[in-house]
Amino acid sequence: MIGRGLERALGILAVIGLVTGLYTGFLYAPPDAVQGEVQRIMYLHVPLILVSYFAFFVVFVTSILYLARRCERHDAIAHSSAEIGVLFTALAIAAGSIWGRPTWGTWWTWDARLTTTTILLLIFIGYLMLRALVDDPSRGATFGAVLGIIGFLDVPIIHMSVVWWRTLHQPASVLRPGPSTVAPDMQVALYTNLAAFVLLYGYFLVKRVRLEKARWELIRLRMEGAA
Amino acid sequence: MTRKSKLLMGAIIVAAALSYLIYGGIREAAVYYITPAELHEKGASAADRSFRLGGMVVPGSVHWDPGTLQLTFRLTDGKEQVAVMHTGSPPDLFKEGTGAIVEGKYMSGNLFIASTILAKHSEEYRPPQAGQAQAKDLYRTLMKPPEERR
Amino acid sequence: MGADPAEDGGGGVNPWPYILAAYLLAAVGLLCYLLSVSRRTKAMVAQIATLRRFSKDTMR
Repeated sequence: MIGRGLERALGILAVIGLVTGLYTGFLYAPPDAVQGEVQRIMYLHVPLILVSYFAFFVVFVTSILYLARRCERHDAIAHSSAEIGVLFTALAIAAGSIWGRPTWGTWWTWDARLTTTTILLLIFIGYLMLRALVDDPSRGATFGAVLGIIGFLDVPIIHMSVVWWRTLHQPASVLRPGPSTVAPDMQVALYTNLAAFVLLYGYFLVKRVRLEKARWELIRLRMEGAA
Repeated sequence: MTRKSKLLMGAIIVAAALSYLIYGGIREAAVYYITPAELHEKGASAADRSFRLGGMVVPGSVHWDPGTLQLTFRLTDGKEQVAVMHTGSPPDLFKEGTGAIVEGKYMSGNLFIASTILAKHSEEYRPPQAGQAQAKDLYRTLMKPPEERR
Repeated sequence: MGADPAEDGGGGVNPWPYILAAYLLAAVGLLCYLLSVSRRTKAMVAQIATLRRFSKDTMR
């Protein structure tokens, strides 16, 4: 069992990170030359979507491990990470939509980047529904693992969507080849917030895995009671 | 049981939306917009049809009448140009020399009547040039034509 | 003659409502999730405790 100490440390570090992130995003970083103040939404939108990619990558890896070894622990992490990934993706889409209105001139458009991101969100909402629908824990875990592995494959497609297709969404500013397109002062704000959201993800994951373990305990006790 | 059937219904809706997006959405998104040259290639068959057209706003081509809210400009892909007419104010980032995507109908006579104007922006983020603008009056200065800036 | 529409009125939408909306929405979403996990965990732990007590009672 992962200690409460780790959970508390991650929580405290995440709060410190988020406060520092707000400071760097709103006070340290300058406004953008083209967009002005509204560009500050980037320090929320980009970390949220990057951490959600990471969360689904964790689902991908632990799902493969589950199928290979049938160890409940891996499934607990996959299930928990998928739930947090759905939360972060939904918030990233919401923040992106709010950013799009004053810059692009629309809340939403069906370009390739937005369409493939919506697909990712729907796949993992479907994943959570599937997990809730299947009562048998090991069957649920197996179905989930297969869907989790397939679902993650959309992440590289999202990332490449702005290269492969014509989109309204601009090309990637991070995780791209070549020099950074973000001014140094803005990078400080961006990476501080990214670190903060990674810590927050870790904190959420530890908490959510604990819930998953309590759920197993309950199932085990019920089965003993029924026997 | 009711919780389960509700979940099942939700899952069916999600699956339907997913398959619609994967089959229809991606195909549509793959040709998100066409360029002025591609529009011209279509020739007479393009007249009176709806498109999403993307390109660069030709410098010096923007005309705006605040009284009637009539906006006209030309879009180019470096090869061809299309004249665009729109009623209403465009997004703040709409500027000469930057990318824009318009939605609307192509008329005969190389005229595009746009119902929506979307401003494309680059992936570059940098602070305003030294002395160019303070955060407060950033917006006013940004709205000047490109030649007057810097 | 205005070369740019924003110069003649309408110019410059106030960005702060958008910035605040995005950050507040994220804050509310993250907090609600945290509360939901805590609430669900508490409910599970309570159920486990009840079941344990029950099984002890029946063993006696």
